[in-house]
Amino acid sequence: MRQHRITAAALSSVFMGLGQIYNRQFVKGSAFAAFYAFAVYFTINNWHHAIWGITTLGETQQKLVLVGKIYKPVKGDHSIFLMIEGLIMLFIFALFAYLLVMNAIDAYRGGKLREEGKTLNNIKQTLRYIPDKKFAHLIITIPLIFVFFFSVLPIIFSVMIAFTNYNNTHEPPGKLVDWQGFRAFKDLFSLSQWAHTFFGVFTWTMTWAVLSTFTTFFGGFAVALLVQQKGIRFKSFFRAIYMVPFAIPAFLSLLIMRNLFNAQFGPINSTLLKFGIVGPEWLSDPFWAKATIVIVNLWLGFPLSMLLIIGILTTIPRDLYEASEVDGASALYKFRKITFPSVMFSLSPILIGQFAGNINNFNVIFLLSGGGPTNSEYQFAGHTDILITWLYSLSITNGRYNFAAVISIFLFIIIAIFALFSFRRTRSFREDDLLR
Amino acid sequence: MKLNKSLILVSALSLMAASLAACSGNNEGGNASPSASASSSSATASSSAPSESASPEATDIEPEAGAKLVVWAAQEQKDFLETMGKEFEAKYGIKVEFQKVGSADALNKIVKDGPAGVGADLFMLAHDQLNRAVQAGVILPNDFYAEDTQANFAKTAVDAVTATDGILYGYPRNIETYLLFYNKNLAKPEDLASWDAIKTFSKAYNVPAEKKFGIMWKLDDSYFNYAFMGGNGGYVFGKNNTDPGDIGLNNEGSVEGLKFMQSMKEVMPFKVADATPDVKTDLFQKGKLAIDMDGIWQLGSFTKEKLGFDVGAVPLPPMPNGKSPKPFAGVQAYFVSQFSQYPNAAKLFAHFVSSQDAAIKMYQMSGVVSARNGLDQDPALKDNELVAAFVEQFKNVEAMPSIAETASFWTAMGAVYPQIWDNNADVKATLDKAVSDMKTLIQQAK
Repeated sequence: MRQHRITAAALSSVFMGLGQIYNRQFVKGSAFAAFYAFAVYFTINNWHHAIWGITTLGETQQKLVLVGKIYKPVKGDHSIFLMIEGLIMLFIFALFAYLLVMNAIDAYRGGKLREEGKTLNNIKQTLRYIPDKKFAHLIITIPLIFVFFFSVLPIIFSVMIAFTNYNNTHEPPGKLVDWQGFRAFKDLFSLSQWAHTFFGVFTWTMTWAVLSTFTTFFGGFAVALLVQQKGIRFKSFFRAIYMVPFAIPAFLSLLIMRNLFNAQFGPINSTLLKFGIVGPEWLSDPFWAKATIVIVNLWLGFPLSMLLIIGILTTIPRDLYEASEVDGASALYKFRKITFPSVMFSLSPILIGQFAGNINNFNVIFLLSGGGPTNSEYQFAGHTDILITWLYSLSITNGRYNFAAVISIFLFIIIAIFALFSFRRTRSFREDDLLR
Repeated sequence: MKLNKSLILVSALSLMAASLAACSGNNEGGNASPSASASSSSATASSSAPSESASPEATDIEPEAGAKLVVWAAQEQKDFLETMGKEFEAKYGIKVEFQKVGSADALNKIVKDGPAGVGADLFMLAHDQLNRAVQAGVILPNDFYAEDTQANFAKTAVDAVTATDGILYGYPRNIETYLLFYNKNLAKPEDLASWDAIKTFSKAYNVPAEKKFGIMWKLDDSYFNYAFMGGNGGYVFGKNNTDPGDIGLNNEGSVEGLKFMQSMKEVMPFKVADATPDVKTDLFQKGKLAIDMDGIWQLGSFTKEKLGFDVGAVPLPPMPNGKSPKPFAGVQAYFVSQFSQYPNAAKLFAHFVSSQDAAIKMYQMSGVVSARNGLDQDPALKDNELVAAFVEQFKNVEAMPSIAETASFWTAMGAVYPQIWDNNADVKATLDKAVSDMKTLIQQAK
C-alpha cells in the first residue's frame, strides 16, 4: 500500500505531472506536464547563453568598421546586459526547480491520500480550493515576484558589480567588463592612508547620524509639547506654520541655505554684523561646517517628528494624567513616566529607521557643504564628508562603479547590523502589550 | 506617373545639394542664404526636371527614408535648435525633436539609454568627455563631413574633437574659455593692463564691509586656476595631454604659477568656499564687483541692456614674470550616437546646424559664437568688443585634457585650492600630494 506515494513522487520528479496523472488527477497532471515541457524547452534554449553570458560577460567587443568613407558600427556583447539577463535566467531556472520539487511533494501527498483510501480532489475542486483556502498565498505571489525582480535582483546585481572592473575605462557597450574577484576590495584597502580616512569619515558618519536623529527628534518633541499645551491659542496655525519647510523640496532649500550661510556674502553674517557680532566661518571652518549641517538638518527635519509626536500625544488617555495629578505628580514626573514612554513606544521603530536613513543622508551633506572644507589628512575627503558622499566623489565622479559597489556592500552591512540589532531590542517589537 | 514623381524629387534634392555645396564653398563671403537658394532650386526642378542631373558628386550624405531625429542639448539652445529643426524639416522632410539634456549629463544618459534604444540621435558634449565616449562606444566618427569640418573650423576646436585614436568624432559648435570682464563705470582698461595694475586698482577699490571688490573668480575650480599654472610651463599630462604616465602639475612652473595665484589673496580677502559663482555674478551685476573673471557663456547676459552699464573685456594680462596665463578651453560639439537608427540623417543635421548661416543665427539667438573660421570678420559680429577680446584670448588657450584619466585631475586638484588659499599651505608640498593622489587613482582604474 505504501507504493502509491513513492511511485507518484518518483514519477513526478522524473516528469512533472506524471505522478498526478498516476493519481488520476488527469487535468492537473497534464497541465503540469505541459508546463514542464515548456520549462524544459525554455531551459534548453536559454541555459547555455545565460551561463556563457554570466561567466564570460561577453567575448566580442563592439567596433567600428570603415566602409568606404563611412564608419559602420558592429554590435558587440554588452557585459552588463548579459549579466542582468543571466541573472534573470538563473532566477527563472531556480523557480522551475522549486516548482518541480513542489510538484513532487504534491504527488507524494496525493499518493498518501490514495493509500488512506480517500478520493483526491478533481480539477473543479482544486480550482475552487485555491481561492478558498490558499487565498493569501495566491495574492502574495504577485508582490513576491515583484520583490524578487525589483529588490532582490538589483541587490545581487550591485554585489556582483563589486567583483568586476566596471569603471569609466571599462564601460559597455564600447568595452567589455571582466570578473576581477576581490581586486576592487583589495584596491580600496590599499589606498594610501585609507584606514585613517575610513576611520575618520566613519566616526563622523556615526556622530552625524546620532546628532541629526536626536536633534530632530527632541526638537520636534519640544515643539509638539509646547504646541499641545493647554494655554496655547491658534494651535492649528502653529502646526501648519512649522510644516512650511516641508512643503519646499529639500534640495532647493538646501541650496538656498548654502547661500544664506555664506560667511562673507551671506545675509546671516551681515545681519549679525549689524548687531556687532562677527559671525563664524559657517562653511569654511571644520567645526562650524559640522554645526551648520546639524542646524540646517534640524530645521529641515523637526516638523516631521513634531507631527508624529503630536499624533501620539493625542492618543495618550487623559485619565492617566488626571490620576497622576490626584497622586500629586509633578509635571516633570508626568513627562518621564507617562508622556516619554508612550511616545518612545510608538516612535522608536521610526527613530531607528531615521537613524539608519541619516547614515546615508546624502542630500544634506552634498548640497550644503559638498563635503568641505577639505581635510589635508584625508584622501579625497573633506571634514564633513560621510561615507556615502566620500564614496560618491571617489566612485561616481571618478567613474569607479565597482568601488561604489564595494562600499555599498559595506554600508549595507553596517546599516543592516544596526537596524536588526536595534529593532530586536525595541520594546514595541518584544512586548506588544507594554502599556495597555 | 509614380516614376516621374520620384524622378522629380531626386533631381530636386540633388540640385538642392549642389546649390548648398556651392554656398558652403564660398562661405567666406557668407552672404548666400540657404533658404533662398533652396527655394530657387526647387522652383527650377519643378519646372524643368532634368533627369540626368542626379549627379554622383552630391556633397550631402543621403538621409535614411522616414528618418526622425531626437536632439539633446541644454535649455539655452532650445530656441535655436527648434528653429533650425523647422528649417531642416522644410528642406529635407526630416522631423527634429529637441529634448533638454545638458552636455554635462548627455554622456551618462546615452550610455544607459543608447543600448536600450531610447537615446538621442544627436547630442552635445564638451570635448573633455570625448575619449570616455569613444571608449564607451557611444559615438560615431564625423566621417562624411570630416574634410569640411577640418577646413572650416578653428584648429583648436578640430583637434579637441579628434580622439586619441586619431579619428575626428565631433561637429564643433563653439570654443569656450574665460577672460576678464570689467565694469566700465568702475575700472579703466589701463587698470587691467597687468596683474600688478589689477592689484593696485583692487587695493584702492576694495571695501569688504560693503561687499565691494576689485576682482573675483571661482576659486575652488581648476578650470580657472589652471591658467596660472599652464601659462608658467605647468601641464596636466605629457604629450599634449594624452600621456597619463607623465604629470606636470608639481613642476617648477606649476608651483610658481600657483604661488602667484596665492599672492592674489591680498586683494581677494575671502575664503574659497564663499566665492561661489552665483555670489560673484550677483556682485558684478549689482555693480559692486569691478573685474570678473568669467567665461564666454556670459556674453548673452553681460550686456548693457541687462546690466545698465557698459561691460568691457580683456584677455588675461601677463603675470609679473612676463608670461601670460593660459586658460583652459572647452569645445562644445555635436556628436552622433552610435545607437541612432538614422545615422546619416543625424550627420546631415549636425552638419546643417554647424554651417555658416546657422552660426550667425546661433549668435543672434543665443549669443554663442561658433568656432568656424573667419566668423569674427562677419559683419554680424565684427563690431562686438567682447567677441573681439575672446578671439584674442583664443590665441592663447589650452584645450582641456580629454583622456579618461582626467577625472582624477579634477578630483585631486579640487582639494589643493582651499589648502593654499584658506590655510596658506606650502604650494609645493600640496601639489606633490595632489599628484601622488592622482597617480593612485589612475593606477587603480586599470
